Amino acid sequence: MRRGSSRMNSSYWMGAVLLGAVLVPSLLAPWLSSADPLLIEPFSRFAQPGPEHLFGADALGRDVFSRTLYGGQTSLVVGAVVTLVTVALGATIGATSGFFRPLDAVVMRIMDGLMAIPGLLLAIALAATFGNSLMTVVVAIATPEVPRVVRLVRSLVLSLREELYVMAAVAVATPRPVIIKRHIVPNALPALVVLATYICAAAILTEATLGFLGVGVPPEYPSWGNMIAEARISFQVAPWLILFPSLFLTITVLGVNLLGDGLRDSLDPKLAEKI
Amino acid sequence: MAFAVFAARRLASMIWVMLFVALFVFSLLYLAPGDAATVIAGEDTSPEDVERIRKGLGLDQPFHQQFLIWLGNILQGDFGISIFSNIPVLELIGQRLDPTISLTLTTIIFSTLVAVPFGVIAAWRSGSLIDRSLMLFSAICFAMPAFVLGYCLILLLSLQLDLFPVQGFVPISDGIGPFLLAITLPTLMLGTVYIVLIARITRATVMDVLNEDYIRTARSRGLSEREVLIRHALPNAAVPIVTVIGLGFALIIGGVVITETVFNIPGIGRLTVDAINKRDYPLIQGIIILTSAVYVIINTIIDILYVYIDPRIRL
Repeated sequence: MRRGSSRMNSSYWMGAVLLGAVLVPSLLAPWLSSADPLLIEPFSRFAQPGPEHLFGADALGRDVFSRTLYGGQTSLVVGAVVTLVTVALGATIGATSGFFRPLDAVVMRIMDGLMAIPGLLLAIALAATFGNSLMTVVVAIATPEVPRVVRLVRSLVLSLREELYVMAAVAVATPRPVIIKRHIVPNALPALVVLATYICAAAILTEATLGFLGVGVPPEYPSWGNMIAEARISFQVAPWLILFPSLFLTITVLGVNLLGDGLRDSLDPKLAEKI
Repeated sequence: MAFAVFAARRLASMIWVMLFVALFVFSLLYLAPGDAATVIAGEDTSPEDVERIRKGLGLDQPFHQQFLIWLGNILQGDFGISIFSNIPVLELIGQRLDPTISLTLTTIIFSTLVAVPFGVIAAWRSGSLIDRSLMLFSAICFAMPAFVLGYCLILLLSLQLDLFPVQGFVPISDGIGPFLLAITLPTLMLGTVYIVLIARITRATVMDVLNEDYIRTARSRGLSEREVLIRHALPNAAVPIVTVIGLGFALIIGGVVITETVFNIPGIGRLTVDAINKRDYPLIQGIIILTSAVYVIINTIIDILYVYIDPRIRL
């Protein structure tokens, strides 16, 4: 038991350090990098990594270091917004569905239907349908993830409803909103927080994938996915164009995942089975 | 009897799910900003052409009527005509099926053959070097986008070592050697996440099973570790492993889109990306419905198969 608990702390801290290693430079991008991430400099096309351009320059001569840092902002914002939207929407739908039985059958059929469409396919179809915008990307990434939250919250609510203390609260005519606030939310929160970290990691990966397939955030936002997509054609000449954004991307997702694992094990060892 | 009822119920829920998928896919066209006929016609089309498309597709009728007509056509195997190439959607998909099916099958076979033994060994020797390297490897693979892995493979094995072709697909009818040579890197790229997923589930379930009394009994009867693992542990861990192989199929479908883009393979994945870039709605709709159907059917079959795999499941 002891060994387990030291390990979960290590994965928690490792995750936090990795995430911080990307988060801090991205937030400090305006101070760390003097180069404009959108500035086109024809003379520095494919400049190798060096003192002038720390991570080199891309096919249009834009500074890759600066683009990688600002790209991190885009990825992290997309990850955070998708997570908030998904969790808020999913938890509301899941809790409603768990509490109001007549709705349940319909809601769960819809969720089954959404889950039947392979996630990435659903995301690219949505992204293509609504056209290029930050909002579109958020909706496209969030939609396939919502059923996961709904299922988790619904199953939590269904099992919590049967708990004696909830039944007792019902028996003394406690209003439903109070029951939800006092008993359901605190008990459902740990699992939800852990699932949220996994959704955040998945969202950051999907954002990059959408960018790679050409249906990601509009080109005026530097994003890791867009950078890798643009670097594709020239990757034999300039592999560093793919290397740096990929490295940052992998570190970020690894960090968020480890953070989730650590949280999961420290909040409740039994969570691994639920999520 | 109970089995028949169970199977019938699973099949009925499959129909519900597919009906929802159809409704959703059909509404995509209406969710798109702008008028559906204009969306289909694309830019630079004359108003007469737009009007012709509107009439031709029955877009001047109310929504539910359009949906029923469209659904009726699909049930008869008519998925409409691709706007861009003017070829029936089903025919277009049929032309691209070979590379995708080849890639999917090699990936599933290869991944299962690698992942299951790996997971069993990791569980058997949990905490060992093999186990810890599996955990580390899987953490990195879950964090790395598939296309990055694909480019690493190309850079290392094709460009540096010149072992495999950089891209392309060779049908199996052109000889098994060239086929395998061309499909190795795409299989590695598509298979990695899948391998990791299956290996981790195998490890977790086999570890649970190894704590059971009957394993201790088997060992005390003097069976070799090999026999304990293969005859006793693995069959009892089969259900979650088979489930994840089925669920992971969605990963493969998504992965196919990326893999075929990286390796320039003319399969369904490329077709999807092309359809999306050209906003070829009938084609997009057809692809989503058919792949979802395949996914749902596979998972329904697996659900029904459980009863055979694991007699402990009571209906």
